[in-house]
Order: sequence, then C-alpha cells, then structure tokens
Amino acid sequence: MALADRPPSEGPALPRPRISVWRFLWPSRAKPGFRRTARVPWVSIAIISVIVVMALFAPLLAPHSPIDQTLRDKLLPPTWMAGGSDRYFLGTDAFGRDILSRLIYGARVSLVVALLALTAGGGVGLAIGIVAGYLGGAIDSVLMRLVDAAFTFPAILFALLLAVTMGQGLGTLVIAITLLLWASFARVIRGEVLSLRQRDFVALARVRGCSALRIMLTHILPNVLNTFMVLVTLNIGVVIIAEATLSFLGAGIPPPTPTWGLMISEGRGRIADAWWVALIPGIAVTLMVLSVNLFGDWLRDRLDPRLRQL
Amino acid sequence: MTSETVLEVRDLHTHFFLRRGVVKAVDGVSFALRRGEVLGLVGESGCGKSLTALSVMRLLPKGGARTIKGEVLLDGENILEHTPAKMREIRGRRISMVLQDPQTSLNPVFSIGDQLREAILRRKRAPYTRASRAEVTREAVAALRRVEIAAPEQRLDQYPHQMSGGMKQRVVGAIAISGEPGVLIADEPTTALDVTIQLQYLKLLKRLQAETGMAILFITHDFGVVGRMCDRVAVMYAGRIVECGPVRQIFEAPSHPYTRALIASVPTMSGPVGRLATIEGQPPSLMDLPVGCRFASRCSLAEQRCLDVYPDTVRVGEEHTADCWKVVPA
Amino acid sequence: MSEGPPLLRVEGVRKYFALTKGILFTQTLGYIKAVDDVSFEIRAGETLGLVGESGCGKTTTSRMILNLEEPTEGRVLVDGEPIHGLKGEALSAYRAKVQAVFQDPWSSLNPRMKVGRTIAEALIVNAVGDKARIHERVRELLLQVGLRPEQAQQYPHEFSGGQRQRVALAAALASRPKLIVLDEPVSALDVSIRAQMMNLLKDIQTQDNVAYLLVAHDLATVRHMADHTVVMYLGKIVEQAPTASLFEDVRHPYTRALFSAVLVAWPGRQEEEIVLKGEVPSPLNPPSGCRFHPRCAWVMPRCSQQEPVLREVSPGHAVACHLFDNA
Repeated sequence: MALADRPPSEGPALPRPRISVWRFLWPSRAKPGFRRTARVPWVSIAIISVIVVMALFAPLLAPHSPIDQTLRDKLLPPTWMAGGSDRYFLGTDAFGRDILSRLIYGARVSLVVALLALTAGGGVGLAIGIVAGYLGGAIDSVLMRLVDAAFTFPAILFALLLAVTMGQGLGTLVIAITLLLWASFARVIRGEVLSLRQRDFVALARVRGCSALRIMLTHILPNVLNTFMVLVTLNIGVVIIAEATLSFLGAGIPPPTPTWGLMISEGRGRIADAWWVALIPGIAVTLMVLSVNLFGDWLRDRLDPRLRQL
Repeated sequence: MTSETVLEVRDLHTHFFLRRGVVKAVDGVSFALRRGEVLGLVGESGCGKSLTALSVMRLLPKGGARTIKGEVLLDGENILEHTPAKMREIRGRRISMVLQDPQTSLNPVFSIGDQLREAILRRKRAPYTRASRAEVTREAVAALRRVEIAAPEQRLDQYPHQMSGGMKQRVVGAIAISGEPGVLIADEPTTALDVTIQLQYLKLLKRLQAETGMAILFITHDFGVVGRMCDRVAVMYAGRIVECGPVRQIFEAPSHPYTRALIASVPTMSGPVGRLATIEGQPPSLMDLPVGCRFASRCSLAEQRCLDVYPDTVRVGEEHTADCWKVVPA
Repeated sequence: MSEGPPLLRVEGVRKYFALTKGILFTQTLGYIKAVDDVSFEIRAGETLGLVGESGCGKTTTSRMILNLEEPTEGRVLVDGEPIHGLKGEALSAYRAKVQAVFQDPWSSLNPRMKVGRTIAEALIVNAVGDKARIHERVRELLLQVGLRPEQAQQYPHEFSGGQRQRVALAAALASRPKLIVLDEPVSALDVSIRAQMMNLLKDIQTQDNVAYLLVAHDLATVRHMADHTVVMYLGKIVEQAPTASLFEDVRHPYTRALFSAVLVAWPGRQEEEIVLKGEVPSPLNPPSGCRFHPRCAWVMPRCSQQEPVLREVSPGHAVACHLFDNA
C-alpha cells in the first residue's frame, strides 16, 4: 500500500483506449483488438451471480426458515452423508436450523453490509482523496496525517468498543467497516489526483475560469471513477471478511439473524464432530472473496493497468 | 567514401497482427547503408521508420509484431535467420542503437559506471574479477572521455538522475559504441534535447563516426537535422520508402510530390514569411492501404493510374530514386 | 502603433521557487530563480515570440501571465489592470480576456469530456447566454478551426493530435479573448500538420484581432508567427527586438549561438557555427554578472562581475550584453 502514496508515473502521452466503466457488465462485448485482455473470469462471475441471486430472492429460494429452530433435527449432516436427511441438503446446526437456508439469507446480510460500507467508506475516501490531492498544501498534509492515523488504528478493537457503546447491529457494523476502509481509498485516489492535477486540461480549466469545486467535480472526479470502481471491487472481499470477523467476535449482527461470520462462530465449538456447521459457511466466504478478488484483478487490468502495484 | 555496403535491407515487411486486423507498419522497405556514411530515414509519425529500425535490431515490440518477409543483410549475412542467441552476440558489437529518450534508456538504480562496465564486460565476454576491474574502469573512463564528458572519473559514480538530458544521451552513446559496432542506429537521438545541446551532440556523433568509420542510420522527423547530419536520405510514407537520394539533391530537387510538399511545409529561417504550404488530408490507415500509390489521395498530381497501381521505383539521378508515376526518369 | 496602455504589460516580474528540505521544520536550501526581472509588452492584435531553451523561464513567465502562478515580485497588467489578486467579477473578466493553448494535445483535453462541452466550458462557467446560444457558438467555433460541427459530440480519443490542438484552440477562442498564450502550440505536431496549425493561427489573428504570446523554442516558427521576439536565458531577457530586425541582425552572443544551432535545413548554407561549451547552469546558483559568461565566446573580465542591463542598440532592439555598452 505504501506505493500508492506516490503518484503513478505518467508515461508518454499515448492515446489511452477508452473503456466505459460499465463495460464490465458485459465483458464478452470487449472490443476486439485490445491486445492484453486478461481472460474473462467466467467462474468468478458465475459464483458472484449465484450469490447475488441468493441474496435478492432469499425468501423464494430458501427451503426453510433461517431462524425457526427444530431441535429434534439438530446437527444433522448434509444429505450425502450417513445419517443425512433429504430435508436438509447441507445439514442443520445445533438448533436444528437449515444451514442452506441460513447461507442464503446470510448472503443478504453480507451484500447489504458490503454495499453500505463501500458506499460510505468509499465515498468518504473518494471525497477526501480528491480534496487532498487537488487542493494540496496544508489541507493535504492534515488529511494525509489523518489517513496515516487511520492506518495505525486497531479497527477491530474500535469495532468492539463501538459494539459495546452503541450496541450490536447493522449500523455499528457499517460504521466500523467504513472506518476501516476510507483511508485506503483516500490514499489511492489522492495519488491518482496528484498526477491528474499535473495534466494540462486542469490548468486550462482554471484559465477558462472554473472554480476549484467545479474542476474537482467535472474534471477530476470523472477521471478517477475507473480507479474507484476497481477499488470498490477489490474491497468487497475485505468487507465480507470484516463482517464475518466482527460477527464471529460478536461485534456484528446479533443472533439469530444469519450471517456467514456468525454461522462460522456458532459452529466453531463443534468442528470435531459436526464440521459442516462451521465449514460450509467458511467455504462460502472463501468462494465469495476469491471470486470477487479475481474479478477485481481482471477489472483492474482492463480499466487501469497502472494500478497493478496494488 | 568507399561504397562498401555494411547493412542492406531488402523488401522488409513487418506487420502487427491484431485481432481487428493487420497493421502494415513496414511494408516493403529496402535500402543500403555503406561504411562511413550517415543515411537519414525521415518521415512523419506512424510512417514506420522506428519499426524499421527495431526490425533490423530484431527487437520488435511485444504484442503481435512480426517480420514476415524480407532480408536484413549485415556484412552479407541475413541476420533475420540467426538464432536469438546469435542475435544477442551481434547486438552491441556489430550493430547498436541509441533511442530518443535518454531518461528511459538508462537504468535509474545503477550508476553510470556500472552500466558502462557491464557493456564493456559483455563485449569482452570477460568475468568481472579483481584483476579486470581496474582495466574495465579505465576503459569506462576512456569511453566517457570519448563522448566529451568532463571529469569522467567522478561521473562514473553518479546516477542518471544527477545528469542533464544531454549528458545522459552522451552516456547512452558511449554505451552504444563501446562495442565498436560497424552500424549504429540512432532513433531520434536529439529530439528530447535543446537546440544548442542538440548541436553539440550531432557534432559529437559526426566526430565519432569519422574516428571509427561506422555507418549510421539516422532516424528523424526533422529536416534541419537531416541537412546537417546526413549524406543520403530516405523519405518514408505509410510503410514504404518513397524517395531516396543524396541530401543535396533531395533538398534542392525533390522528385516525389510527398517530399516536395513536406519540405515546402517546413518554416524556414530565411526567405519570405507568409502562409506555409500544407499537405491536406491524412495518411492512409495502415490497416487498409490503397492498392495504388499511398500518397495519391493527397497528391495534387494524382491521376487514375496512381490510384490503381503502385508506382515503380524510378531512377531520377545518380543514386536518386523515387516511387512515383509522374516522375520523369533520368 | 496604437496609443494608450498596451494589452499586456509585464513589469519587472520575478518568480523564485524555494527549495526546501524537511517536512516539519522546513529548511530553505536556496531559491530557484526561474524568472528574474522580466518586462515586456504586447499590443492588441500582435504576436510576441518568447524564445529560449528549457529552464530559461519562458513557461513560468507564461504561467504568471495566465495567473496560474503568483509572481514573487513585479506586476502583470492586462488592459492596465494588475491581474494578481483579482477576485469575483474582475477575475472572470480577466479570465475571459486571456486564454491559452498548450503544447501536448494529449494532455490538453479532459479524456472524459465531450469536446463540445470542453469548448463551451468558458461560456458555461461565465453563464454567457442560454443553451441554444452556447450551442450555436460551439458550432461556429468548430467551423472556425476547421472541424465539423457534429464532432462536438465526440470524445478526445477520437481525434488525431492535430485535430485535438484545433479543439484546444476552439476552446481558447470561446470567450472571445484579446490575448492567447500559445505555449509551444505546434512542437508536438508532425511537420505537415504543424504548417496547417500555424496557418490557422494566423488566419484567426487576422479575423479576430487577437494577440498571441507565442512561447517556443523553434526560431523558425517564431520567425513566421511573431512581430516581436524576446530571447530569454536563465530567467533573464538577453535580447528583444522586432522579429524582422532580430533575424537580420542578431546581437547577443547567446542568441547568435541559438541561431547557429538551429539547423538550417539546406545543407551547406551555414555561415557561422557557434557550438556552445557545456550546459545551461543551474538556476539555483546562477553565475555572477552576466549569466551567460561561462559559455560565452566573447567573455570579458567585467562579464563575471557586473550584470549587463538591457540597452537599446537600434530602434526597438535591446540587448543585455557588455559588448554593446558603448554602442
């Protein structure tokens, strides 16, 4: 991350291929002739789609309630194992709740947290990065020292403190993760802005009479959006892990609402005899984070090769 | 001037194979370079002059560029057929190159001395031992002195960022000629330099050439540099050499309409000041080259034949040729 | 020429950049004297060429005229009014009067903004007219610089270097400026495109009576464009004269070296050849006396002690050199 502090060096002014931020929604329509296109990560896209669909249509897809306890059916192994039941495909937990259903509803929490935290943390980081990078001087120094402070801050400790003082819940979780994220966004965006600021079109905008605010909004912001989108994707994994970690530690969403982190936490004591309770949500987290990161890597290569150092 | 040919390029074709099509960047280039002469390769951006040089060095950029046809004869042997290992032997010793940007030609993390010593050791194929150390350093100092760098002993320990652009380009030159190559390809070596520094550098190149008798292929877009540097000049347009001849003749009596228009559009330091002549239109797309003369669509003399058939190479004078239907052969 | 105050007046302008070390307890190591006491004038409708090699201060001077930098000392006046420290309406009025075109056509346009929007920006910012009027003006400007009106809807990457430079010029013309700072406007372009651009600039000057400050390193370009020429070396003006008389009668040893270095295209046409010794010294510690003396072929003892002042040697032609002290 330290590298991000330096503005990426500007190569010779080559015509950069223009690629819409939204092109990634239809990767197959990538313009031919784009020489260095990395292979489209179809598997990742498929996994991410499945998880998004699960989250969106949880009530339709889940075979059982994620909360109702059926103690009679507790700790049933997955269907394909000895003693497994046809009714519970991925088995049940210590309270006899269907793990598949909890997984499906848990995706909801993960995605909602990711969306809120990335909007809040990314947005704050984007704004601070642009302001610090464009205005420079004392404002930049102060903001960047704040960023340094944020990096040295024990985020998990703070989240636990927050959970104690504010109580558990979605709000606490989002605030905690926002505090974890904004600084890294701010640092990368600022580096990008520092190099953009040197470009002639910014000086010319000043000559035309644009105010600082106008330049930041119409000239700087559109030119860092690519980078921002890449950062967002690369940080989805961070958020999901943070949510799982905090829920696991009891500082996240309170039970019985299913979240993947909470599910791992609940199953951890029985890992020896009923491994599926913890392992299945664990696999889900791994798959999700891996897919999102692979997708993010690809997106970064497509949209902004200069960010490869991240 | 002896007329011994050291480098001959025959019908060279280097194309970029991209998914959206084939870019015919170098498409049938032929020229000969004689010992001790400077041949200028002039043209506007995208005409294929740099890629011609890279094809000769066999250092094509990654990403679909391939030489598909032609011969590059260095002292009579076709180096396009050499193995990569053999080619590495040749580069730096028999044929060498100086690029435009001294900033990127030197490695910023090694001292000037280290980079020079490496080149010298490579030429000698010698390991770097305590015994050879003093001698190699002596040679490095001599190499810097040769490119007129003051206080070379102190310069050896400096890093590229401590030197000015002109100084760095001299170091690049020192490295390039450290292997006593017979052919030096200079690709816009002075474009990044200030005019007074440019003059110093060109003088230096001329002097070194006189001392070593090497042949220089001098790639540039600047007619002023051509006038001062070159013995002969080849004008490139859209992947081909359209006119080639002695500098004087090209300047005083250009034959090809493109050369004529190009020379007329250069602002001059003397004569009347008025509107400059321009060439209307754009060069053709290298992906979709016309069958006839490539300049025909912008040429005021063009007739039907020019559009239909690529012109023959016409001799317009001693050593002076042009690819044009409208030129009267000598 | 015309009476009254000149359009642009640069008065004894200096720009020193402090070279500092450390973050908390900054220590000033010295000052880079990028521009050191420069004065000149431009009248309406005329072109002034500002010539020199890299590091001579010509770009810093132009940035001060564009109010992108504050001078350390001295004033820049447009229509008799100092431009630094302007606020609000007065600043907008000045911005409308002075525009710029820069060297690098790839960096001059916002890659994410349609060129029509870039051209209209000065009008939108100053709220000149309604949408339809602005649209009409953009159309007019595109035609004026030789582009098609429908190209307003395109993004910069769809244009070649020469076309981009035309767009940049259209954007500069939008507010009907009286002065355009042209910082190496053609040096990034190919030879044949360069001539087109120079002709276009001349045509526009004839049509709109706009004045140009042409910052360039290429003497031939300046000769074809400028009415007056100012030659700078290490932050100082060494020679200034009407272009025609300068090109006929070069006086200052540095200017002579510069002229000699310009590679006259026709082989064998060179009369004198002055190859300068060494490189431009650091502006951090410029040489004492005349800043050119360490490289000068005509150096005299007093050159290293006493700084020469600009002195008129013939009408309108001034030189800063001890060789002409008694002229």
